[in-house]
Amino acid sequence: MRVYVHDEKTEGVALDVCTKLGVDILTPEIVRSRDALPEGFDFFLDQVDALIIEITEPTRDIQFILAQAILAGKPTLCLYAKNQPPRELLSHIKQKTAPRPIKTFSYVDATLAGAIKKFMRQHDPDHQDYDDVPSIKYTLRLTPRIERYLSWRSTRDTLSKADLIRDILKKSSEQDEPYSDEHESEE
Amino acid sequence: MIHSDPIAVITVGGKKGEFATSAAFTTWCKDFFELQMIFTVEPIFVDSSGSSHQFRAMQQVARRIHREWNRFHGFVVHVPDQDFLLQADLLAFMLGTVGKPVIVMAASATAGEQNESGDYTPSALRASLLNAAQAATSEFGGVALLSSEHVVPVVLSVNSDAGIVQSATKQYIGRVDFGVQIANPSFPRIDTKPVVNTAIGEAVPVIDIDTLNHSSSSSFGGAEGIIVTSSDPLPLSVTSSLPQDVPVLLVSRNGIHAYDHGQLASIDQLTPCAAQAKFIWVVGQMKSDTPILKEHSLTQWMFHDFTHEILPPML
Repeated sequence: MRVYVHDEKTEGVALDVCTKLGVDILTPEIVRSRDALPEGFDFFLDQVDALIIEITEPTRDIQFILAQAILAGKPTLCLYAKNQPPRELLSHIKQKTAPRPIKTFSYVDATLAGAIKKFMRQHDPDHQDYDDVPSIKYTLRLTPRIERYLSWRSTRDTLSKADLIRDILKKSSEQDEPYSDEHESEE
Repeated sequence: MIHSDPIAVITVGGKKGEFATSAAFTTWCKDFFELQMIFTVEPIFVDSSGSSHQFRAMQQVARRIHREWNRFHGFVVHVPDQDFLLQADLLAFMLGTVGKPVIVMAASATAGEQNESGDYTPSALRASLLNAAQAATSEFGGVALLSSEHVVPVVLSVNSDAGIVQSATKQYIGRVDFGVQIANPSFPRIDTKPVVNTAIGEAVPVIDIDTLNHSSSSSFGGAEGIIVTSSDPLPLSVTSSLPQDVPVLLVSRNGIHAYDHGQLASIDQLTPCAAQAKFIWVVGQMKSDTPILKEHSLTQWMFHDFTHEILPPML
């Protein structure tokens, strides 16, 4: 996945998050430093799968990119600092009825990374978040009865016991509304 | 809208144009949400339907740009596909040196989405118009063509075999790439109103060499100039079959030549399309009341640089 990141306000937070997620990044600096579009591309938006743009103080170029993104239906996350909304631009973006390709998010430092991760998770089918990688070793003592059930389910579903336990807990967490409400902003 | 500087979007409509009527174009612009979102746009419709002359509409466009010069930051001119490069070149000669962006766009110069029949889709037209309008808000001056992502000086443009417009010299004003990236500072913005000369040759037939060979000199009675084209090299002996009392432009595989009062001059410093447009324009200027042009021959004026169109000899 390739994403255009235009951010001159968060001191590199948006770029850092995208870098850690392992996506290919295009920035205004890269665009300015080259002489032409890469071979095979006639339209600048065709180079990327999604856009992340900090719009607190929208420039002429940002407004133009957003207009083209709306027209092309290109997934775009517009970020603006909480209590500093670019009202005129937001009113235009929100005129388009849902489903819009443009999502807006009012951020504070603590919520910025989560919003970007969530957006990327929604638009990158190959994306595997750090949170989804089974990297934590866990020792669990089971009762003989649960162990018998686990063995039976493992054989029936042709899954390893570890995968089966992870699946059961994942489904449970997704269906747990109080948990989701409490942790939505972190994701 | 977000840009406060207004942009004029002129369409040449009518039978050959994308829009048949002024009302249709105005409604289309008003309903174009993304355009209205960021630009203050004034739609201007120039009707080519009733014109007896194929270039009458461009004369109207040039006059309108001159009249409205001070009102707009820049101009977008949307022209029909047919002869669009020639039309654009002619507009450039009529406007002369301009200090604001005048962006010419045509569907065939658009690298947008095509449908199954090979026609450009409405969204491709919209995307190109957004690109053109953004270029028209930029800080440069000149008549330019929007081709794919490039902003090309019109008189340096050539239409390739693949139908793609390119710069004959690889000299671009800039490119549309997440905004307009100005690449060439030699096209400065100056608000001064240009001196517009819209006189053109009214009777300048374009014929191929075979037609010329089968015509008598009386066939060209009333012609103010003749453009002879050939896809093959032309022998020097061709001059013997040219009328002696009418200036002729020869455009062939072995270059571009002007023939006037028995004098043959090579003018390979121009692109073929710019040479034809310049010829039509100079013929018009020589019969107008512009006194300075009467002091020299047409051939001499073909070498004069009116709109930065003279290039180093092309390879």
